[in-house]
Amino acid sequence: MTTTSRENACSTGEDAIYVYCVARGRTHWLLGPIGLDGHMVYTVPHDGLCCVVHTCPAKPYQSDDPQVVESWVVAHQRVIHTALDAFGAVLPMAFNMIVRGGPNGDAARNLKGWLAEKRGRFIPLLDNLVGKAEYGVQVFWDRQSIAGALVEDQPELRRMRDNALAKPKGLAYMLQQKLAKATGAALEDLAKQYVQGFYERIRQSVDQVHVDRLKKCDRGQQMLLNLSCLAGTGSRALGPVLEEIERVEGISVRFTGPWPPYSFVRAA
Amino acid sequence: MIDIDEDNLKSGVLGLVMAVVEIVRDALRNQAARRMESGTLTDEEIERLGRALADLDLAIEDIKREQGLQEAVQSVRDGLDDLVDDAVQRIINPGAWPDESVGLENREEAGARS
Repeated sequence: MTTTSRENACSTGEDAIYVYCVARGRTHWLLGPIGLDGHMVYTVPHDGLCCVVHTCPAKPYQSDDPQVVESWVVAHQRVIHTALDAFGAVLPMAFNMIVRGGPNGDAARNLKGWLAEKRGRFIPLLDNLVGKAEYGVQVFWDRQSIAGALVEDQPELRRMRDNALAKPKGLAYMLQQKLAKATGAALEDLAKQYVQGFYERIRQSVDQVHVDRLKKCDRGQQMLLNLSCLAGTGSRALGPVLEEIERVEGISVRFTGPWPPYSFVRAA
Repeated sequence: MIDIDEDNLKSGVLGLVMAVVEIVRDALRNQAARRMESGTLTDEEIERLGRALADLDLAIEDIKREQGLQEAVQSVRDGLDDLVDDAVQRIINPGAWPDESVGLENREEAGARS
């Protein structure tokens, strides 16, 4: 990253600014030609905050070619990661956040106006994010194998299974349905225990937790918890907790990150 | 002009029909279990009911396998599950509603530009 004394890097005849993220900073910087389609990325500072941007036409990035869209999204992420490394904390913007000029002034002036308007919100948000990153934690269980183990472990379920096996076809079918229902209820109780226990342990080892919606998995696997965690980049507290959770029979954990803190910069 | 792929259409319609058949089967199964537990059925009636439902299970699985409908049926049922899940979420967690309309700070800006 190099510094530049240009007052306004946006004087190329194009009338809009694509915004990647907001950070704390007072200087004009050139981050290099790392933007969408290799655009030069630079900062627009205003009163202690700056936007990481490139200059573009006043229309959204759209394409029918999935590869082109993918390359844009990857570039968007890359710029945010670069800015995160450079500034220590950023408020990432979603893809296609574009500020255009208008009758009241050029795009850079509109952008600075927006920064001034949001300053009171952005400063505390950014201060809270310094030295922290978002980590994804997803906990899964193998429902089938845990159901099998439950039937073996619980005498009542085991008795129902053995009873069904000894009966003629029709009755056996009905008893198996009853067993499936009882096993489902036992699995639900166990899932509740696991979710509450795991969530508490994870929450205590990070700064903030955001609970995301569960997603469908391949057959057999079922997602129990989908969390975004905000934690210090140097923190070692979460690792041992996740290792301990993964040691539980039938449980697996997926850990990703560090990510820019998308889940912790919501307007609401 | 609407471009229709006949194979896709067939698989979609049959998948929907079989998903409905499965849902009716599930309802019959629950009703049968309730009657069995209430003690109003004789052993012979339970046996007959159980055999009929087991045969229905086999027939459904055979049709799905022969017509290659496993994924289509699953996708209809998953879609219905999601629909119910959304409705339940809205009832038990109304605080989550604003998330959908507000989202990230920048959305209002993105909307304002166009």
